[in-house]
Amino acid sequence: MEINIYQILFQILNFGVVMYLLNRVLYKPVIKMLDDRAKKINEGMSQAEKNLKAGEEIEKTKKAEVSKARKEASSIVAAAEVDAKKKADEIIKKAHEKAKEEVANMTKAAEKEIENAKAKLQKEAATIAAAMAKKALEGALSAKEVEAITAKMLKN
Amino acid sequence: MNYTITSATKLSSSNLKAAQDVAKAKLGATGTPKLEVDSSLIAGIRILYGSSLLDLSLAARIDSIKSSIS
Repeated sequence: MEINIYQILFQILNFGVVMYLLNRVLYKPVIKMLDDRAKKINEGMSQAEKNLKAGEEIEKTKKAEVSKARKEASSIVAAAEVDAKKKADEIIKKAHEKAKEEVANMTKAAEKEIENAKAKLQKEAATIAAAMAKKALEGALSAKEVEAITAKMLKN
Repeated sequence: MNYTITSATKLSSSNLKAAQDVAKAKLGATGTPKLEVDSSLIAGIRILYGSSLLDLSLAARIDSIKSSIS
């Protein structure tokens, strides 16, 4: 086999040209495109991490706010319960006092009514007794008895 | 001025004298009284002198007792 130096040189030159062209036309743009893409991915990941952290912060803040709101709500409910109990107690106390007062008034009125009825009854009884006494005595006394009573009344 | 003595039955002379004495002492009535009989008095007398009335009847006493207890 005969080695042709010119052919070898030509092949080397040819290879160099191809390498230069490939490097110029294909490798550089592809590498640049890959670098750009990697840069974009890195930026995206970095942004995603930032977003994630921000989301966690928001979640943390939200939890803290919810906890705070729950505590406040709890406190408001407790205060409202105490206030409502106090008002209910006051209403019950007033109702008892009013009922007591009404019972006292009614008792007083009933007692007064009983007293009035008693007085009326006594008056009627006295009137009836007087009428009965007059009716019983009128014409029942003898002339001598009438004379004796008259004499006694005139002496007095 | 005349006056009237009303009694439950006709007055005996002693009671009439006593009634005249009472009329004079209590009302200042003198003279001869007009005599009337009213059985509703039951016993005792009633003397009317002018507008003054002195009721000493048993009926008036009963009314007085009735007033005091009613």
